[in-house]
Amino acid sequence: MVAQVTDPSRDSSTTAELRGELFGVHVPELQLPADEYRAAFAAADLQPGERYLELGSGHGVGLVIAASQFGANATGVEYLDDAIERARHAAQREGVSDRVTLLHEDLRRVDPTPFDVVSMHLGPAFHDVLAARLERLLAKHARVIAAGWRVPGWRPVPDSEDAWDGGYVYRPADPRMQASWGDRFDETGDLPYVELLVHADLESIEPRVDGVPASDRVAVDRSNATRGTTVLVRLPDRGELSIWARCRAGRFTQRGPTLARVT
Amino acid sequence: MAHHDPSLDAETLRAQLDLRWPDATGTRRATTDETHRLALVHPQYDGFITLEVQARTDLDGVFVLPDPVLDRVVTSHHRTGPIAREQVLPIDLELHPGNVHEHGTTGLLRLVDASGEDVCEPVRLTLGADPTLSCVLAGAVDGPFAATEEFAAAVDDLLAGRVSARKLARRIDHGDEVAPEAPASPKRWWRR
Repeated sequence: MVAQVTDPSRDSSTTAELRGELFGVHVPELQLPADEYRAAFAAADLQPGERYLELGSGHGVGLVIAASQFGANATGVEYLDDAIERARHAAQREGVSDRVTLLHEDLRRVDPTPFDVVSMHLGPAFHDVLAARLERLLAKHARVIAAGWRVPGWRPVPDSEDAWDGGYVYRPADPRMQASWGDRFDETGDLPYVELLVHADLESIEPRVDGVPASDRVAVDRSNATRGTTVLVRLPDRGELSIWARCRAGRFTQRGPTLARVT
Repeated sequence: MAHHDPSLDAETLRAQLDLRWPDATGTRRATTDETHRLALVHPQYDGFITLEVQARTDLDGVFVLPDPVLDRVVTSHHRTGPIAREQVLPIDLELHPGNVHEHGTTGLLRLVDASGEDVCEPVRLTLGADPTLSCVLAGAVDGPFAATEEFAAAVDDLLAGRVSARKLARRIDHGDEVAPEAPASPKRWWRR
């Protein structure tokens, strides 16, 4: 039974699939209220003319608000035909049909590359399933709205939680958001170290001191790391420590700038 | 002056720093946020309850195997593929309208690796329904009751029909109100 779900080409698993049933989620309770959409769009700084993608767009409430009140070009991905039809009627009723596109697709297969703001209000496991794809494919400036539940391992945009308490706003492709410094431990005598909190899958991690590669002088406990883990970095005897990291495929293959400095 | 050896691997560096990976050996290769999850919902509830698994060592993957009684009631959704130690794997447990019965259902969710071996202790999931409820959640680890035994006794009462889901939900809400650890945040401390 277990072997049926170990297909490496799959990025998610459900017990419904195990039973041979159709995959799909129909959760009316998860439809976000209009006020929450407005607050989320404001927190994500959705601008006129930007492209907005909603993964699981339901009855289209968010699509219509994004198009009519924020001037965005909205695209919704939905699995259920009746929900798509209701969203289409809502867009027509509000006069924004020309700026609302509806796709009947599996949200795990949609290409998010051209979008500026992506929203998802699913369970945390669905957020987790979609995270790696969004990290890899979104542009650096793109924001992701995760309503209700965090995306495990991701770091919210600073101040976004103050702007909106109904969920989280992320910039998963921004190199500055892919790692951050955690606690520093100087009290261990001659073995001081600092934690590097990893917010996106990092293919390589290179320590630098005063901007100069320092792999021969600074020990790290992993040369690559996965979203949601912590890397220990032993502090150098002198100089400013920085970390240069590289993400995996797609747009993130370039080496990022210095992520942070210990001061 | 500290002596830095750049060739240190993870285990050696952690040993030098007097840090150890938590419980990286043995059968408990992962841990869950709750050992017993309770959900009291409307009979037509159509939504998720959630469970988190944290890896204590690198795992090839985690899969959910519910008891037959639970397999008829919930659908689990989660990411597949490797999970690094420390990493958290959220699991959405989807409930379907009409599947949850008034007098409660309970069963175990086994969490196994690709070879079918358990990565941690099974999680008990108990479900009950009442038409006055939206969704009230509690758990044995961080739930509203002071002692685990008290929580287990309350669940036993539900399953035996000695207390209704509505009354148990009210008790949980009351526990939420009086819990001294409860922060001022509207995001309640033991709910998801």
